[in-house]
Amino acid sequence: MTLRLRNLTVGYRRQPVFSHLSLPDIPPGSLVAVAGPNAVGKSTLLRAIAGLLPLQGDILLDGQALAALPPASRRQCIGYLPQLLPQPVPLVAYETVMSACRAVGGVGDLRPLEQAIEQVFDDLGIRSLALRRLSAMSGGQRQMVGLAQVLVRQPQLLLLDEPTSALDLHWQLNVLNVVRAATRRQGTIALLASHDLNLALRFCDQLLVLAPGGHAVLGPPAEVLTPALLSRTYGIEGRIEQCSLGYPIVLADRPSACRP
Amino acid sequence: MSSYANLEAATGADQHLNLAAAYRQFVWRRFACLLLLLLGCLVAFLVDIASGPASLGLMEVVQGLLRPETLDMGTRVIIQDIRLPYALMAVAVGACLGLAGAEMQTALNNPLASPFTLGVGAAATLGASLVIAFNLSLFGLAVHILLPLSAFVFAAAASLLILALSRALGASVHAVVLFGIAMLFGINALVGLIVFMADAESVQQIVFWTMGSLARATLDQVAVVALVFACCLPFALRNAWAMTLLRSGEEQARSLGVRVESMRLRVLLRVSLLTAVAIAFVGEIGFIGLVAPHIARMLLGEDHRFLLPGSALAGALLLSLASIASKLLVPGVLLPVGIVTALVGIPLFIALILARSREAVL
Repeated sequence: MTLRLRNLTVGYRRQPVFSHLSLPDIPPGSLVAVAGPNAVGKSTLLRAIAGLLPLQGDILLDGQALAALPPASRRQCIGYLPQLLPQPVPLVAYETVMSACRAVGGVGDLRPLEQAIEQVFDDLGIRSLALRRLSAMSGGQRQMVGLAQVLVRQPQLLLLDEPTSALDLHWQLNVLNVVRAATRRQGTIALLASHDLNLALRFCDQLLVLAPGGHAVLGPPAEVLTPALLSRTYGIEGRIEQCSLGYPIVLADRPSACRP
Repeated sequence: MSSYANLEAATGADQHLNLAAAYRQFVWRRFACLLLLLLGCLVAFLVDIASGPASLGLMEVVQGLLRPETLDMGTRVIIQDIRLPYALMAVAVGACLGLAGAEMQTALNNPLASPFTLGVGAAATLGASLVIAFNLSLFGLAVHILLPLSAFVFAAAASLLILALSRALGASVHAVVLFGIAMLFGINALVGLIVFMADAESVQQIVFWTMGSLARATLDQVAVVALVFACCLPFALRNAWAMTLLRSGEEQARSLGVRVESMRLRVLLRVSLLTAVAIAFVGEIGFIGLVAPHIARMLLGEDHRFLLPGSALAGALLLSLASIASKLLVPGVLLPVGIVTALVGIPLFIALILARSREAVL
């Protein structure tokens, strides 16, 4: 299953964020980190692929246009985690996850669904939260429940918008391990928007950097990341080094003289 | 310790506890809570029939309902012709307003939303006031048909106007609430204008309408209100999971295929139908639609399979209690139930909030 984005034009109220954006094909099992400065369009891109924004152009999943898929198949294919955390309402985590599976279209036998929910709570390590109300949880805990809502359906394409923004270091690693495992086990493609470049670099196969002006570059992190790109994209002077475990890390030294 | 706390403790203590089984246990507790609410409604309904100037015993009431031929003619007339329509109307109207309030609060994602805070109830009053003040007659319809019809048309128009405005301007739910509040003030000004222009008898009728009264209820009217409720509830429940998901987050719900705009439209239509029909016969009873969903939420949580019927039951219970109080507060005087609703509901509501916050502290 390959993801192909061709000639995408997306925007808000006739103000395009991207015009005619095309990217190299993304192979199955890829974890792609989507990086870029604030307001460059990371969330817009994910929302457009998720079908939440009107767009022109083609999004093909395994050669099939997503727009042409019946709504039920499209829902089955895509799992989208919005940047906003689940609301702190008196819903228990278990039924929050169940509602994600039962909200549209019926489920026949409940048992497989119950097993899937149990599995996702175990995978994410949040079993003890299963019967706790969202209103009694911290922001990070609610973010984990939001992730469970997405992962429980085992979609082929995961679109995660800042999935670790409210999490501490332990849970950041935990979540990215679970996503990484899903891509390896099921051939899922995951697009993960994040401001935490070093965390993303540790787990991703490819890096998609969105730069102001609707420019984008996609490729293996080692090839894509250069000090010049950091300067052009983020307006910083920085270095790319390798940590002892072999992962690239970005060291930001200072803001560059001119902001892009 | 609440059922939530019990189950949290259970899952925390035994990591191998089957989650599905624990959740089913949790659901059963909610079901039991729903049954308790139903029982409360039934008791309040019987007490409502029993209370009044001619005091009756509960057994007498039960006997009068099940085997009326065993009672003397006077008691039978009091129970069947006077108090039964009154008490049934309290249950039916309370249920309609409770359901409408719960649906509206979820669809607009706003705990302050209710058919009345958004002007839907005021629009129904405007429709009724026009018929009363100008003695309108349309297509030869009698006033007792035209008045609720006019109330309904205005309530539906108000709902659609809110929706059309918010869609046209691409507005958020917050803007919908603001439109609704602006409309509430606008409509209240129009009702004031009508009152200013109307004759003394019409003014008295309009004022009486705005205070809300169950005294005019007949069994036919109760049947209409109950029928509308019975038609709306299954449609509301069909959306229960989608509404539950919507409570956790709108963006997530949209991405999973919930057509939020279309759902809002259907909710607003149902709310206008429920509100208009409910208050068309009894006048403005504003408090139920706001508070009943909160009471149900405190008792049952946000799972809309339970919240929607629970809110209807809480509404029915509140209005039945208000109906009882309206007969007992001042002996020999039947107070307008719209006034008493708030007097009865507010202490109950505050007691629940206090109990809840004490639970949170413990």
